[in-house]
Amino acid sequence: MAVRNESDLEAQSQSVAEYLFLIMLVLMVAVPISGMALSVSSWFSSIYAKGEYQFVSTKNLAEQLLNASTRIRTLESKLAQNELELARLKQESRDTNRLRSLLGLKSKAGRVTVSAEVVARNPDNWFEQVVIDKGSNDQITVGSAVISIAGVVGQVVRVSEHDSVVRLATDPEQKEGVLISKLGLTGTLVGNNQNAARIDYVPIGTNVDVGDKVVTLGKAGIFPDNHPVGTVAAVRRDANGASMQIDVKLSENCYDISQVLVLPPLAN
Amino acid sequence: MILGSMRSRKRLGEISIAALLVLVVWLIQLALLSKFRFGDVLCNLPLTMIIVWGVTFGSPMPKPTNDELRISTLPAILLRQFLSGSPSGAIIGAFFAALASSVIPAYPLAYPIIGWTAGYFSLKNFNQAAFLCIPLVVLLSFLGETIMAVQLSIMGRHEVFSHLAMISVPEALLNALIAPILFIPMRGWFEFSRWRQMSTE
Repeated sequence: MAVRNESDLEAQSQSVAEYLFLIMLVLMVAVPISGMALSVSSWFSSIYAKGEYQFVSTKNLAEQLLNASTRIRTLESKLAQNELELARLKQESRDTNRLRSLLGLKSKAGRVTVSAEVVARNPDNWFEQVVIDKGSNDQITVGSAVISIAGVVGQVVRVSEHDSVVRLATDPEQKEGVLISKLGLTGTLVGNNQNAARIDYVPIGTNVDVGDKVVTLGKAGIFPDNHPVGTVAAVRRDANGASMQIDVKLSENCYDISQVLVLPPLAN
Repeated sequence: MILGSMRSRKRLGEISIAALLVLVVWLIQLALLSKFRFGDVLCNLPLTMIIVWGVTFGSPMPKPTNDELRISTLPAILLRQFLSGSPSGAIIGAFFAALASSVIPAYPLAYPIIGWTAGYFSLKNFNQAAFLCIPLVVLLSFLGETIMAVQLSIMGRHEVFSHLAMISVPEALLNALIAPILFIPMRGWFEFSRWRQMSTE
């Protein structure tokens, strides 16, 4: 009986030792594995979190960039529109000023005046002419003077119902009586294409200086009195040496005119 | 009868296109190009078009054969050469001259003369003709302005030849610059109409 008890006890203690050994073995293996698994999972989760953060931030950045570029494009188009508007307003302001000056000139002229716009220019290099948008229906006749606020522009040489051809002061065929107001010296101004206009046959010894003002004579009833024509640019002897020649820089730029005032000739 | 009416309809279509082209060129010159001056000189689009037209369409006279040349006398050859200008170039020139005389106090005789003369230098059968048209436009523009100067001088305008010296060279160069732009589509049109004519025959 005692032997049997002893052998049972031994068997029990052996199985307990086996259990303990197994538990220890499990603990020895499982603890490091679980630690490793934990660290691996935390490593993965940190990488995932980082990746997700990077992805989200990149996505946000891309969205912001896209929005910014759309906004820039909108602003650019708005800016272009504003610039166009500004240019148009500037042009309108220039036109208004010019028209206002013409209106002042019109009331000062004290005779029939017609305001007109230059619509075309002659197509060749031989003649200096422009076409204006007013014709015989607006009382314009051949010989009418054409002036602007800055100075003399030319004279009407052909009229049809709705438009007229104006020979500019720069055309060699265009001649008009002028006065150098400082001296009271009269002369005939002749156009010289792109070069300065000329006053020929001025007596030698006349005291004309560069910069003297030249105005219209206005005796023929075509051009108004004392309207600016230009300034003396050079004085020299002519080819024969018998008289002087005066170069006159016209005050109106005949190559850049838009609004003009037409003055039909006075009856007498 | 049907063939005749088809041909006349085709001819009418070509004349309409030519008239439209002339008007467009005239409007461009009058309203646009006359605003741009290059060293105080305008380029002359109508004159350039007349020259390009003349050199593109040339003369309708057939080329003489060697046998014909052998039996012809010198005056006959010279007469044939004289007559081998471009009638369509002269008509286009006359059309432009009529338009020009509505805004300038002269009928520019140079335009139809140059249109006819351009036919002597026909570039119908040349490769690389777009390059050859440049010196031709320079030469004929210069000739055209010289004829204009002579005409204006006869009409009593002052200082014509000093002005000619100032404008002729820059204008001829400007015309030459725009010549290929006109020549290439015009030659294309000419070749297309020739191809169409051959395909209908």
